[in-house]
Amino acid sequence: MKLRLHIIYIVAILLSACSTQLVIKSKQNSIVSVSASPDSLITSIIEPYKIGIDSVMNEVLCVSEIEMTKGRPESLLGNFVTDLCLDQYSYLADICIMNNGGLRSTLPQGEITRGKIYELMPFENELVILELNTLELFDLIEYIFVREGEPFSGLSVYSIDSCMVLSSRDILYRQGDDILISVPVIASSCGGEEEVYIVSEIEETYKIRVLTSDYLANGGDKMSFFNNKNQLKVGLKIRDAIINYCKSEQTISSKLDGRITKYQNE
Amino acid sequence: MNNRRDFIKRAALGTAAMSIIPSKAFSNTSELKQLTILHTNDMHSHIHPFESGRNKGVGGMAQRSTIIKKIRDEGNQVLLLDAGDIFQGTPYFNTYGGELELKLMSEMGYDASTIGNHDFDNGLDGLVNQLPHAKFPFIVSNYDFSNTNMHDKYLKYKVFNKGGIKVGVFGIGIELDGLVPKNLYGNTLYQNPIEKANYYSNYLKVSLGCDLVICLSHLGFKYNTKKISDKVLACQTNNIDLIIGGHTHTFLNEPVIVRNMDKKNVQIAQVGWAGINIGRIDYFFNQKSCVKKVRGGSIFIKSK
Repeated sequence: MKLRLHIIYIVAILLSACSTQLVIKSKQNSIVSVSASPDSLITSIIEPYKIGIDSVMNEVLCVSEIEMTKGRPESLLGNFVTDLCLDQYSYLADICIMNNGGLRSTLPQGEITRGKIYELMPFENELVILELNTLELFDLIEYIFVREGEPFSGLSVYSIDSCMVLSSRDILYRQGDDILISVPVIASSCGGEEEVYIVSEIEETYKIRVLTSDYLANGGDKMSFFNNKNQLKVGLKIRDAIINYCKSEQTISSKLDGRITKYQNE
Repeated sequence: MNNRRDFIKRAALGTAAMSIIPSKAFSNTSELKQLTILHTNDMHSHIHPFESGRNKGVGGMAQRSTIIKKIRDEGNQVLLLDAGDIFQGTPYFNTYGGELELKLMSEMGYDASTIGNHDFDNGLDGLVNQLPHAKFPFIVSNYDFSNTNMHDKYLKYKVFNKGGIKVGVFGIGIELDGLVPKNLYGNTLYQNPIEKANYYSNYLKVSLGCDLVICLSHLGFKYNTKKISDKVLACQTNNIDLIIGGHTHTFLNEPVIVRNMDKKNVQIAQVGWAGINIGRIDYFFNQKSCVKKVRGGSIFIKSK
């Protein structure tokens, strides 16, 4: 391809405190790509720090079958992280929610080093569990829809026009000490919490145990349904939960499963 | 996603133009004094070029340093600025707490930075303990650190004399509540960005007679909500010439122009994140130190 190098100027005459001012826009060259060699002085400052990092961070933990990126409404990376966290604490929690913004990088296909997990989850955030009632759970789901998706695991949600419907096919409730039973909570909400409709009375008293990060539980990203709730610390950083999972699996993968869907009536 | 793809495509096109920004485009500017503003934001502890993914081989502080040196070699006055979130994002921060980032920025000759929300990630102590590694000031005008151990370790504004051009720089930080855990920012008080920006931009422009007023902002470029952003700040103030922004990781190929309260133009610049790009804005001043021309762009950094 032959690049035409003629430059188009858009010249705007602007008023300024001083006098006439020109803003020059050169369409072809507002962004240029420059290949640069590393500055050897900078490299020499980095070197001792790099040696310390590499010895720990280059450890290969597992192999990823696919590249996982974050995104909305659901994403390979969001599903991967929330599913593995919930799996590790499925005896303590029913669902898991994180924030898309908290996933800080892509996991590449191929070898996953410890350093890659640090880049994905650089924060020291810990996993905590909070209990929500059914109405608060709807606030959580509404939050997910308003944000056009946040990473979550353990339930499926869908909306029809402005109504949100919760299907609890994956929610397990604990009854007594050690018996797990599945209770379908089928409920819907249209246009505001005062209209929340719960199918049976008993379900209103259920507590849903939510696994999340202490960052979100303490007011991060304005998840107000977590305000003033008791937090149970499970004693593990999110990053370590991911590292533990990767070390326990030879290969890792993820898929999109339609856990959040928006239907529109014609 | 589309924006990003478009951005990469354009960046690739730009490769054919070998020089950093061709100077022959401005052959009639010889009688004007040139000030080159170079800027980064949200570098997030990215020391090395990306090793994989769509950004493979892109960025890198040693590569950035080479480009900055080349631009300094052009012989014009240079002001090198950062808009915050230097910290957090690679094991370098988890392991060394930001020490290396600040040392390298100092070596590159950064003139100033503002404070981003992630610069609080190891708490106020974590920030204060690293500041001795920075040979440049942190400037923020709307955080009141009076009741913290940061109280004497930052500036509300700074005036730079660049070859006779007076450049006033102040800083605007983002609201910390809901973004940074309270135990990390402690007794830091967030103050109204528009009030503080108006106060400091008027003070720098009118009282101190600065020729150019720059706001280092970590508010974010724009939002679909009523949340305060660089676009809102530009519209609701009257003495800012240039906002160097961050936080939203927005890739602007060139500064966006917004009219301020006096219908004067404000340029808003931001160059993505992780040191993938470095922004460059050239101001041309006449003998009376009036801005006659402005030219803005972005340099996409690739490893050789």
